[in-house]
Amino acid sequence: MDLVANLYLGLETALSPINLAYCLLGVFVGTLIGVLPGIGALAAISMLFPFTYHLEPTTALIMLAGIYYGTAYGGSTASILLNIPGTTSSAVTCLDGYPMAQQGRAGVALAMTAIASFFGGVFGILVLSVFTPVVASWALSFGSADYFALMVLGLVAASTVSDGSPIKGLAMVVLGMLVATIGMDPQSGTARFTFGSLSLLDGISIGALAMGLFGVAEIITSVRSSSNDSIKARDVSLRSLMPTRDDWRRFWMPALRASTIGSFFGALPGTGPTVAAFVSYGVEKRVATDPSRFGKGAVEGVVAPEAANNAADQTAFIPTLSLGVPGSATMALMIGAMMVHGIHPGPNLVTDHPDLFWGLVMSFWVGNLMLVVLNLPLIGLWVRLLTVPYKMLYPAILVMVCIGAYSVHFKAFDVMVVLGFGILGYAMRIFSMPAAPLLLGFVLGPMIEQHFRRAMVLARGDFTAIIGRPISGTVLVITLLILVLSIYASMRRRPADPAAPPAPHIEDED
Amino acid sequence: MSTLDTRELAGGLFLIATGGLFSGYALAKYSIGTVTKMGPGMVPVALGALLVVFGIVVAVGALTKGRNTSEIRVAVPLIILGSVLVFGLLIAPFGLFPAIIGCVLVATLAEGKVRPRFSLVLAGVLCVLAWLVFVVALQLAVPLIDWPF
Repeated sequence: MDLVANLYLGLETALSPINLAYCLLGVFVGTLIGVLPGIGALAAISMLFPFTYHLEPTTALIMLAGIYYGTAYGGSTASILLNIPGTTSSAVTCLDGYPMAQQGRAGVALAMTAIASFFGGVFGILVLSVFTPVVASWALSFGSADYFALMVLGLVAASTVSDGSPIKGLAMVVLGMLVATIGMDPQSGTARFTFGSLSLLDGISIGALAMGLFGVAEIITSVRSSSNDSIKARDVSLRSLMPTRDDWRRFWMPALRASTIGSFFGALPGTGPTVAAFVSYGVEKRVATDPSRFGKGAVEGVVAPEAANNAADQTAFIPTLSLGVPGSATMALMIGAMMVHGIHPGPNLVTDHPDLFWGLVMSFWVGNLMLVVLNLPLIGLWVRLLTVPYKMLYPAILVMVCIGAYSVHFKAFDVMVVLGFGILGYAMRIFSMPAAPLLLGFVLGPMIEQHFRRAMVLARGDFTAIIGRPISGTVLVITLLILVLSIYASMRRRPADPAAPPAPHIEDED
Repeated sequence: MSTLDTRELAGGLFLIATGGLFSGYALAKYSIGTVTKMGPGMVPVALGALLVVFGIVVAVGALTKGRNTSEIRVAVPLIILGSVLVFGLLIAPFGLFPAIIGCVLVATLAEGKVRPRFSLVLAGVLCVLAWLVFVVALQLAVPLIDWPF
């Protein structure tokens, strides 16, 4: 059977020594970054992005993906032990994880999250391997107009669904698209916005942009404010990790429900692991026979969000790999990593590069297994890591960002690009403008431009032809609905603003 | 509380200025073309104009709501950005180690205290780590110390 052969090919790719090594490196770094509060998955992937230039594309993706889902495992550790979410998607885990730790059940909470994460991850991988080829074969008939519409939907959903002003999100998408026009115009060969600089002719490198926006700007806001000097490492012994029979009984149904919810929200553009975690926690609270237990150390309260965010991490790859349309900034970086190596993700990816697709999928299994092994016995190491002072950490991150940017082309110019986007990134934080939509616009901008031009040529300049096509028309109507709804929601939110409690900050991550 | 949010207004003006610059420059320098045969200027002009519109919406919104209390830092951003600048200036002429040391010495100032011993030790440790990771393990062809003269 085809599937068996594909799975075998994928397993062979994923288990090659070099891919295994980079998968391990990825999940290790991912857990590390996830454990450390103040650095999210996006910043971590940006920082390691330059090194993927020197790797095979499959290996590069395996490593980047490992970092991505690894942070979801690590993020829960800080949530449970410190009540500080290591990543935004594990913020909900604090609600019941920290009370469990206070009751002396930190070990059980950590074990349950690791197992729930594994469960959710595996569930998400299954959904991913079944649906990606289906969506891809269905998408083979898509024309340029349809892709144009899908990409517009992706951008609008990703920039307006999260909290914050939808106008600012959209403005950042447009700014990202403008930044992407810098360099040689592929259609006409004209140099745009280069001001005679040869270095700018190749365009802005996605790695330098991401490192400036997420790495440097992140450090500027965290220095002196995120102090962890007072943290005392809580000792977690291996024995204390053992869940009781009652814990197991409370595990299966929430994990299954949350994985389903997570898989759904992960695949949708604009929503992601964070939304999935919040929704699944809410659902568990609603279906529970005794909702009052939640917030006081209910096992379901850590199982559900962790299963959901890991499932969502995996299914986020469905639109990315089958359509080439990323649903989040992190996925945009994945697409960037593929394009650096000349691979254009789209419906043909599964058939043209089966080793890449199935190798990546199988590496998810391997990586999730590694994560359980890394997280359970080595939990003591991660706990101690939480006590590394930030004053030692941030210079190290800065040095790594600089060397990383420089190492791509061995040009000091790229370091200066990081500097430029560091300045922009900080300015955007002052104006409370989200950075993730800018990256999405930057990656999707050139593709949108290309598809739009092609669609216009095919339709002889008649824009109504795009709206008239069944697929692109439907997608554009949905886009319009999302736009109107989110603007309406933000208008209603505004008058109550000053009194409103600080909403969870969920725009940057995923 | 004032009814004018100056920071929000500045954000809107920032968008208007950026969009205007992109649009204006593209309009002056590149051909626009027609819808079926678009020139290199079409997309930048359109996007720049869109950014101006968003900027106007943000700026107008700033006139009606007054809030925003978070601090704006001056010293920390300058120091952190300065450390990146120092690395960029030193790496090509002088090599990896001077760039790392310069970057770390500047970056550690962001803590608000001058602690030369801490900074130097950290710089030394990071030099060794960078050498192990980038030169030994990844085999990047970066000179450790260089002398341009």
